[in-house]
Amino acid sequence: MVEPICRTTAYEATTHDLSKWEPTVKENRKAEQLQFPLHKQDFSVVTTDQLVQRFQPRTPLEMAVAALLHGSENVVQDNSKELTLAEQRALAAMDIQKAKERRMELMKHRALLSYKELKAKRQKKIKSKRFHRILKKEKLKDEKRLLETLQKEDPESFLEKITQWEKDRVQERMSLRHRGGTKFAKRQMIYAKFDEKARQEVQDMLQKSREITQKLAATESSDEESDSGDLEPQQAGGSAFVDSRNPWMSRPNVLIKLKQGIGHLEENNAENVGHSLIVDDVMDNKNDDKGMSIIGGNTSTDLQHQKNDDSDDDSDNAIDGIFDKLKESKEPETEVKTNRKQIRLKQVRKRKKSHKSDEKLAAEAVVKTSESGKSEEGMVDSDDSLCEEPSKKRSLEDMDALINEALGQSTNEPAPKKKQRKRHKKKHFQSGNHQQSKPKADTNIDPKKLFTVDVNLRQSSSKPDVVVNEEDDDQLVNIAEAFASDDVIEEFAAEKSDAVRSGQPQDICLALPGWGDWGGAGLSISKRKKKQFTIKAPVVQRKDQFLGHVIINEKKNDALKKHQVETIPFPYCNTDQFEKSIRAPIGRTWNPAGVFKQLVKPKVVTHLGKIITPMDQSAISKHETGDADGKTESEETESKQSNRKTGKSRMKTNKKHKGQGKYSNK
Amino acid sequence: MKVKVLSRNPDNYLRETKRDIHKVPRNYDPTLHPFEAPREYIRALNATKLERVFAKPFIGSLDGHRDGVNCLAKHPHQLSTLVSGSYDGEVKVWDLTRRECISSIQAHDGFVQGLCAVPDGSSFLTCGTDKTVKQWSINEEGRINPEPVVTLLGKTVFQQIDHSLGHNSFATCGEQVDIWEVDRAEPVRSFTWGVDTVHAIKFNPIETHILAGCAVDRSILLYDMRGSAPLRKVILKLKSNALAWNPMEAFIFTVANEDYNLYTFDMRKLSMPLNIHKDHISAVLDVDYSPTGKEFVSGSFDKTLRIFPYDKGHSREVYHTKRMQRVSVVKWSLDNKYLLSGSMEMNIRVWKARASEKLGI
Repeated sequence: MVEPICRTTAYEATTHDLSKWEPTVKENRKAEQLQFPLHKQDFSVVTTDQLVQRFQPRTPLEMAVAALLHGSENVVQDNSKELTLAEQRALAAMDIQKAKERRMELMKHRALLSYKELKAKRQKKIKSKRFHRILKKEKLKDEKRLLETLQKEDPESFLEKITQWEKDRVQERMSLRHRGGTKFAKRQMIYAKFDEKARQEVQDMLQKSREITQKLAATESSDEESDSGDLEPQQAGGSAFVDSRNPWMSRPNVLIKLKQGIGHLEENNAENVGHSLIVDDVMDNKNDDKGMSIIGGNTSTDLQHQKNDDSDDDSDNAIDGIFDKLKESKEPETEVKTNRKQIRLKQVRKRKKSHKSDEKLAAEAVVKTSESGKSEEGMVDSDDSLCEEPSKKRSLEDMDALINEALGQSTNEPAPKKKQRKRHKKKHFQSGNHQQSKPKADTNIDPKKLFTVDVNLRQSSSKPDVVVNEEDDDQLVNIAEAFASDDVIEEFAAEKSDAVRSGQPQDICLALPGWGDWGGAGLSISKRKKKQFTIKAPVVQRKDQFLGHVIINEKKNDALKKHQVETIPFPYCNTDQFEKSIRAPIGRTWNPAGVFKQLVKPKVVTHLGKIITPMDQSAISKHETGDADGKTESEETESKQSNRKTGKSRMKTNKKHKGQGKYSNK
Repeated sequence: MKVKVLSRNPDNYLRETKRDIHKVPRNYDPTLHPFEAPREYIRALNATKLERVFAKPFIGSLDGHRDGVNCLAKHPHQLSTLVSGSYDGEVKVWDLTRRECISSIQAHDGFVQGLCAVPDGSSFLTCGTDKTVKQWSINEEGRINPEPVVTLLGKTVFQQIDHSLGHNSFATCGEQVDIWEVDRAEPVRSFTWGVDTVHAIKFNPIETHILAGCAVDRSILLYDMRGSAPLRKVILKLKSNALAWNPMEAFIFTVANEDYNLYTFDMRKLSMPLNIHKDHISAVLDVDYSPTGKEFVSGSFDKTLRIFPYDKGHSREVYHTKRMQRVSVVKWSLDNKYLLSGSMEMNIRVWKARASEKLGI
């Protein structure tokens, strides 16, 4: 009867004793990261002195080194003294008189050096150009003199100098600095005195430099001219200025312009054509096409390219590309005028530019043609368009005109003259050209198969300024060709109708042949019966019913279910918190390196080859808030260590521990 | 005239030291990196798959015993030394890095039933069916002195032996549980509760005076070495084969049961197990905790090893090979990197604790 009672009390005491581990265990379980072994060893830094003191030479090599070190006079043997034996002897041997003299000498030398330095600094700071020029000249003269003397006295080094000079010259030629004014060039001229060929080449170089500078001057003047011509159209605009020299900026603009132009047309309808786009010009084009309207500019550049290449096809392609663009951008928006087979465009009055600028431009054109020796037609033409530049308002009709013009040129027909083009009445967009048949054919559009596309009208007033590369056009043409057969809209419609059909429950026909029916193969059930026994499927309302261009998949995906959690995991209190934490990406792509490291740090870290010992009594001692019995932590650990050695004393202290545990776990 | 020049602060692109990571300028604007969730999902999936692809846990086997391996003991200070005892009474010391046997002795007539190392690492203890407990000294290279240091004679067969970490005493079990001190010929204390044999005993590694055993009457018994009577008995449905204490949580232990499951108990609340670990498909023969206390490994009659998280109901890993027969003993190495298993077909196998972990360079 006694034993069970003993057991119960012993068990209770033990469990109570064990409870002192509770906080430690809980903390370790909750810890974000645990590093094992938990208790780090003493990492006191070992100093070199300590190491040296511990060091005992063992191997023969070490012994030999030690003997050398201890035998040497250049090593400090006694730590109390600062100087080695050798140093002490040297000090004793030094004569004081001699030392003083040497010191004086050194001081003088140093002073001289500093004077020179100061002088150089002062001279360097002098700002007078003349002074420096004189200095330079002196240097050059010196060099000259040196060279002459060398020629007489030391032909070898002279030759060396000459070869060096030749090498330098080659380098200079490579660097393409053909100007005579540099220090380098001047020196070369000196050397040229001794070399006929070199002299000639110097002359050539100067000639070349002159040529270059001449040319530069010409382009500069043209720039100025065009700049002066700019002013007017810029005033007319008043909206954002786009840098035409930047091809990245200009490219999309063309498309937008085209689209918007057409969008506008469509809005205004056929009778309202008089209303036109506001198109502004930027004429600070530093390239050869000067200030044309978007389309004008476009075509003109194309034309110029054509001139350069002397091939009709390319320009044809380019123009074709333009039409394709036109067509594409038009398609979605031509609901109103779908029946039309031809696009009617209207010409708007153009205002002439000031006479002055006209003249200037013409003059420039002449200069250009004379320079490049290319066909004059295109140039004059583009300049014509320039002259007629509508300074304020302009519509797509201009584009029409210009394209026509361009086509005319590309087929080498005589270009239409100014007066003809000044006022184009409503003009039909047609000609014998094969490129133009395309847009005609494609204007047959099913009005139902259309998406409405929001046109950003804000941009329609921004300025068109175009420098279009031929390459870009080619690319566009390619893209247009590649997707020519793709009917995306129809495909989508088919897809949607499929989706609707598959989503809709089917009628179930339960009709079976029976009374009043003939038996046998190939017999059909009467319609009445079918109707009678068919269970009608309810019509399901789809969410995307009234959304033209959307398919909403309403099927619930059960595959997802197994990836979802049933209850909120531990540290989170509500779904919001959890969802937020789940939504936040962890990867390197979205987080800085430090955060990423923090997010993916492992829960447990162990080290290869490190023995992890079981939990230690010292782990609790840091949890004990106060020392109940006035015992310090170190004392405790000490006693523990001693306990490990002797079992009996351990028993006693364990009881002590138990008492402590009781106290702290209240 | 003031000339404006580009100026950059070298702090923004230069590393302070050669060992610093390279600074990669990066724009974390979320609009530039869309589809976070799908991309991360794919990455996670790939990582998981790769982990499985690279899972090659088997490192090697230690071949040499002439009978099934019955018990293993880790050296307390040397990671590369392992002692094993087999059914033919032979004890071998192994060098794990070279995977070879250093020395072997015929320790007992009949089985080597139990094997444990003395915490100071200078010797180990064996007990056998010949009713003796022997202490063998072992030197740093792993050579065993062929003559035992101490031989203790008992009245009954010893089933298992374990040494306390903090005390100079060890415990044997059999018909009764005995507490011994090496320098005494008689046990210091004996515990009995009923008439049944206790076949497994383990000291608590933290509270080193507490020990637990498994008895044939399907019970788990708890003892306090300092008291005269056992503490408590828990009876399960079937017999428990082995027991392991959590080395980081003083009151937690796990038993390997005949009913294919492992049960984790809190010593203070024995009315119910904390967790039941299911996955084995036959009786579980042995269990050992990882030194971090976060996981444990179990060996089973179904010829597999399984690794369980200590707080999860199912295993995270199962190891098996074609030729491995039922696993009689498992150990988790002291640096938490390797598993060791002894099985009936005379081999000791070395496994990685994390199957896809890269070892070495």
